[in-house]
Amino acid sequence: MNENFMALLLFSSAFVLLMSGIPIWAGLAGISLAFILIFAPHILEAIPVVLYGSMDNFALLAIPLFILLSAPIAASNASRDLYETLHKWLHKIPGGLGIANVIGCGIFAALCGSSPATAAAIGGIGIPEMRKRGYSPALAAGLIAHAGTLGILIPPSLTMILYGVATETSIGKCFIAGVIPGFLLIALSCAWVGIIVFYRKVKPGKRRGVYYIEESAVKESFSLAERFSSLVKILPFLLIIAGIMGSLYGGWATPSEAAALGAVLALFFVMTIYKIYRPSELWKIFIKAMNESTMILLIMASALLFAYVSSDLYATQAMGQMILDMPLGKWGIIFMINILLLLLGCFIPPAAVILMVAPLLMPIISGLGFDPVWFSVILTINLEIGLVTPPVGLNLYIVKSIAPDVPMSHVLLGAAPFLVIDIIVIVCVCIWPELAVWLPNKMIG
Amino acid sequence: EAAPTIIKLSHQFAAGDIRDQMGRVFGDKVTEKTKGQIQFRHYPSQSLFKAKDQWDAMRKGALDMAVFPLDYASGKVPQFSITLMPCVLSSVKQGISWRNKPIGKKIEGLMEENGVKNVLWAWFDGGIGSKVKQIKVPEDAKGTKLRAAGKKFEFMLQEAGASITSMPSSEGYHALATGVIDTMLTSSASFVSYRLYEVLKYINVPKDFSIWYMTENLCISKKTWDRLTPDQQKIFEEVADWMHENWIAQNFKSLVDELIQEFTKAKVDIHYMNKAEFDLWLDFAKKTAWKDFAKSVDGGQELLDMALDAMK
Amino acid sequence: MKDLARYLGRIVNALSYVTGGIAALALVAAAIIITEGVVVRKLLGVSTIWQIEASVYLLMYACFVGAAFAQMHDHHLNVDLVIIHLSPRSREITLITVSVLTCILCAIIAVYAWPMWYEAFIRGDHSESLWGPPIWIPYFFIPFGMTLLFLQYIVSISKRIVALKNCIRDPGR
Ligand code: NA
Ligand code: NA
Repeated sequence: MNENFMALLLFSSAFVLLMSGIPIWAGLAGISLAFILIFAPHILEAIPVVLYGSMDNFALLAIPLFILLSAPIAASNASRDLYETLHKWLHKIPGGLGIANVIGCGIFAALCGSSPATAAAIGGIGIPEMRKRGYSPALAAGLIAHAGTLGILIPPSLTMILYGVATETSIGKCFIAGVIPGFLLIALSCAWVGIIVFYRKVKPGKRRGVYYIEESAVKESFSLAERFSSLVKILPFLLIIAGIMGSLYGGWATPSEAAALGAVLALFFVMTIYKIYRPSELWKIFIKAMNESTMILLIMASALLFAYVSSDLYATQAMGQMILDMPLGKWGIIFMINILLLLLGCFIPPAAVILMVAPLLMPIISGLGFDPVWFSVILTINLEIGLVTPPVGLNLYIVKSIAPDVPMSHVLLGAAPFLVIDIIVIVCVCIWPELAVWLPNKMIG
Repeated sequence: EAAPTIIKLSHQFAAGDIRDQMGRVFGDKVTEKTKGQIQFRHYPSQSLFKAKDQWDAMRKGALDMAVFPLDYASGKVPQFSITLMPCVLSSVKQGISWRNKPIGKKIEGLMEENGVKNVLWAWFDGGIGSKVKQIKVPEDAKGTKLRAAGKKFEFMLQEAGASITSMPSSEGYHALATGVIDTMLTSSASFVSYRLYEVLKYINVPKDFSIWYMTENLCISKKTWDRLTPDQQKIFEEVADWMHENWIAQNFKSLVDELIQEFTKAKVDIHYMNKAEFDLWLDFAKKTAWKDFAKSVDGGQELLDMALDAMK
Repeated sequence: MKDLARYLGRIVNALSYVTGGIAALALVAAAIIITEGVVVRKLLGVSTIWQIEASVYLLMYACFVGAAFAQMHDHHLNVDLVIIHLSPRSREITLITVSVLTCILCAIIAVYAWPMWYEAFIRGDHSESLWGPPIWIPYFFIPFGMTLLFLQYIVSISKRIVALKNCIRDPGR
């Protein structure tokens, strides 16, 4: 059978099955199994091998560990303290809390290399607090789902490492190349929060559409003394962040290890400062963290099984080849590559997309005269979009597990404007490649 | 006319890497000689199976061929540790000569017992890179924070007083950059492809002598092999002979040159191991890694003796 | 027959609860083990050989065995964009159908995963690291988890069928 037709069949049947409301992991694994049974029964025995290999990855531990870090903080009064302090300091700035969350994701992204882990770490606290303070559920969820994707754009980045290795590009340069586009994304995201503040601010209870922020009922003002005394309350957070940052850049720990250190520190502070140490309370926290983790991890494992099947059937590779064979100009090919990456990103997690397409696209990219460091940024932003698009968008599911009562359609609507921002940034980086390559060339040369 | 047989060939190395080229040259020759009856699909950079999973995948017939570092299966076939053993070779050429020697036949026999057939012997050398000092002799390893490739190397260097940290190679760059580790043993090719010259200050280059050799053989699943016709099997063997004689050693030589070139450009301090230093390591290896291997592995001593014989 | 189903449901739930609790502790243990590795490496300068590998095995346990616990409370995420627009009755029918499919899927994965475990167990395979624990231990998690998940789905399906019967009896709901 023609591989392009196979690709179409595989991706469209996965789409249809996932829309039936089947658990996502089962939908992906089920389609994989069905295609194996029909087209390649001799690889049936490889299923447990691939599933085992999918979890045999230390870097993946960052996801459950950051979930474990945020669970005790979310369960204690720690999150309330953090947000009260932020509120006292930022309440004069329109949309201060939303901006604080975007920047919080940016800071966390500088700590860890995974996007779902970033969304889990900040969203676990941020989403409930934003909603409590009048942010529409769609806005709160969409903001975190998207800002969390900064995890793979701002260094360190798991996917940049994989890209650098697969294409023999300087990992250090790719890391630094993500910085300015990352700042651009943060700035534009904050601007969107600002737009909502100015145009969609409503009286409490008077909801308008899906994007709105309720005005707080009372006009508050805080004295300078109040503000500074509140700083004491965020000391544990500063210590956790310092612990993670310090261990990471002080040569104590690798990125995945820093996640574990952060989780242990968080647990320690919640037990000592917030007095949550009764076994029943701790048990609840652990169970919640495990429950969220296992859902995400099982989706990850089955998405990698799906990636394996599509690779074995040569479906992904054939699609890539088809684009490269099209009689398009230089920028036409870049455009089609973007479309391909967006499509793959809908179904396959970033790491697997890179492993499958990087070896295929690389010779073409450099053949067309593009800088592979520049392309690493384009690729990464495309994959960031994939993290918030259904049916397989790991960040969507992180957000959904933090706020299960928000319908998926609202999460998607909330994330949609941010995707427009992503596309704007891609276009900007295409028009002004210096946005990506100036800093690394300046720093590494 | 029957549809062509498609052989899926997988490995963990980047497209264009010497090991990727090895698979492609082999595949092209076979396709040509079989007049297109057998065609190859190449899967570089673990785009089909993860590196370590390739062994089980070949055993089960889900993967046809792989460029596979045999040591990755040493948990399942402990004897394979001999293929990533300190000081067991003194040159790549010597390693490739294993195919006609008792040691090579023994290893190939063990592979076939486990459902995988050997096609090409492909030995690679490696060096020692560090941020703190030039590691010339075993004493130099004392006090370093080190990542070694292979458990026998880890064992030996721990005995030498290094503090060993196990981590995936993908974290090596970041770990070196931040100082989680300060010294790393790996293959010449990996030193270049992971761009470790960006973060290293010293390197002991495997030009004349090296303590680090590893074989990353081109292998084929027995199930796939048995499906080939006798004529096709013969073509595989002929191409393998041709590769052993005309391609492998000749092309692998360039790896060290490339390493020297990249590390010189990055102004890394380069040292070439000499005979006296190698002998010190050999002595030390015999007391540590070799002794442990002989003691803990079935037929370990016999394998070591065979390897020593092959050195002559 | 009804009693038998209820009895089975209770056993399966108890099993999922215990294994899920262990999965939660496995994650905490992974965090502690890695932290221990970081601290002893930095403070005592000793080798850390087993910590990373051990924590990866704990991750596998949490992923594959914890899944049944999440299913017990019907927590596995799905795309609800389409099914929320269906009538309660057709939604229940759809969900029962996909649960049956998922149940079969778990069974097939388990059927192919048990031999991988058994073979590694009989052969005495180890991991290829210096630490080198028996590999059948992590290999055990996939078939065990999938078997539990299979049982858990049977319980879910029987519950859903009861709900569907109520739905048919009382279509006004
Ligand atoms: Na990051
Ligand atoms: Na997606």
